[in-house]
Amino acid sequence: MKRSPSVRLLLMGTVPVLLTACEAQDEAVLYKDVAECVAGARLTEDQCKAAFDNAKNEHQRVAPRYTSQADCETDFGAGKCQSISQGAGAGMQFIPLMAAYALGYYAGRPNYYQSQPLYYSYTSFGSSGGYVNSGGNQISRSTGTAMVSRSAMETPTRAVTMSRSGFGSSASAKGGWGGSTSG
Amino acid sequence: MQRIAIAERSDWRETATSLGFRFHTIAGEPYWVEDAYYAFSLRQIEDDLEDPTTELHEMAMGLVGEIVQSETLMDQLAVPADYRDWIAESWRRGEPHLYGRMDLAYDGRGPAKLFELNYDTPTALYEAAFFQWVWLEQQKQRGQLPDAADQYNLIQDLLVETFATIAPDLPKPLYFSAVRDSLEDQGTVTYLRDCAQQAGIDTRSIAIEDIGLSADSRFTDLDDFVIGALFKLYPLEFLFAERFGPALPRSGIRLIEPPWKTLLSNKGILPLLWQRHKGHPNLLEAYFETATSGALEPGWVRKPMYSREGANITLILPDGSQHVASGPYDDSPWIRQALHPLPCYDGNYAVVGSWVVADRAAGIGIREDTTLITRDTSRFVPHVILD
Repeated sequence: MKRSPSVRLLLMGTVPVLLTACEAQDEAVLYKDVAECVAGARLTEDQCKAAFDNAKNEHQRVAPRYTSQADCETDFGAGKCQSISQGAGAGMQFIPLMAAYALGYYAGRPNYYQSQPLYYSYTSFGSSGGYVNSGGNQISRSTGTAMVSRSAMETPTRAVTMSRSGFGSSASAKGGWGGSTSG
Repeated sequence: MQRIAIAERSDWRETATSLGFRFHTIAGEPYWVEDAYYAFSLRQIEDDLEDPTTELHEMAMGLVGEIVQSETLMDQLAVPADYRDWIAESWRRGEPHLYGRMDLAYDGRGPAKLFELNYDTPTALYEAAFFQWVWLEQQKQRGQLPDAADQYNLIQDLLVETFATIAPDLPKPLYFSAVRDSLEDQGTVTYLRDCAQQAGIDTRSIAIEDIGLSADSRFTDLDDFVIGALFKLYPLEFLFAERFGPALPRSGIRLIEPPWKTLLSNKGILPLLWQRHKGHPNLLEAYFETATSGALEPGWVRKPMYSREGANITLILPDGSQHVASGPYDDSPWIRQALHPLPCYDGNYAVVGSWVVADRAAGIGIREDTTLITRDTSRFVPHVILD
């Protein structure tokens, strides 16, 4: 046969079948707070504190955002969400409280630890609950050591956008060809 | 190779709608056509299309390493000076590519001839990889085609497999982008995004026009998240020429297709291939136009190095009659290629689009036009293998 044994669509059509990319897993460690980190005896107290501070600083910036407190509490539990103001005119948003922090050991970069904030989600891990990161990736059901896919530990990066619409002008300049610029 | 009439599926429009095929009719004109199909023998597919596709692809890939080390060749291909280092670096780092389509003139008898490589922004993908596959299955089920009918079409399998292969090396998530108002381009990127999802990749979509730039030269989405990896169905040379272009090399963004792919999408690759493989049965004679080239002679075609959709092509038949496709791509140098008219079936000129996914020949899709120059008004017609 010279054709695919099957074809699938997930977004465009129906038939939700997933082939999972094989991805490397790395060890990560989850701590609820500095005391648990120190008790784990992997890092010094100073390292534990620095990693916690880093995660705490990131928290406000990267935490998942909700426009309604009820939606936030559905995912993270009653009383586990805080409001943040997005500046003039942007209204109120809600983010979950930071519940733990994770340290991922970076492959190829020995002695370099990157920490990130985690949230305890009741709707993750098939609704049995567990720790997720700001990108919604499921990290582990409990604190302690876990094996986590490398991409799940990568935190999304944000930068303040200064300008938009810097691309796309050739499409209108060369338009009239079916609106398409490819082919 | 034959063109054979067949009854349309009475419900194909509903099927198209349910399967996300929204551009089967473009500006009121049919684009997907299924009142006929092209039939090939397995030998024609394997010997005349699949093997030459692999060979032509390898010949083209063999040029990239040479071009990136040569200012002379970069000059000849009119690669903008500011982006040369970035392009070369993307090749040296081995940044993976996803797919391409080479257009071949083939009539079932002589060797297929390479018209050009669409290696930066190829379309007609969903209809080749997916919708013609569905057409074949349904027409077999309904007894319109024999049980033994097959198709040369491993495109989707190889796309999903390639996404899975290249994903671990890419920043997450992978963004998919095209011009906002092009239904066809949006359909193509949605399909590719679907294939990436099937490979387990986290994806997002953003219109080309919505991409933002931060003060420290990183590209951002509408929520200010940095775009680390971008599939762009938008010509790289357009990006170069636009306002955000200069930020590309320092942005750290990973592109699919990668920057080096623009070298092969450039029609200047055709004379270079001819210089290095003169007389190859699948190549047409080609040369760079210069100030001393003189007027275009009968039996020759003139193409801009950078163009899409058949625009700005002029050809002169041996009898002296001239065919011109107008267009906006008159701002780059030109190449000339020996004329090899497309075969004509029932008044339709058919071109074979032969797909390459990663580095493997993957399948074909056929487009017809009523003129010798295949343009964006061409129609897609399915094919089968009948032995």
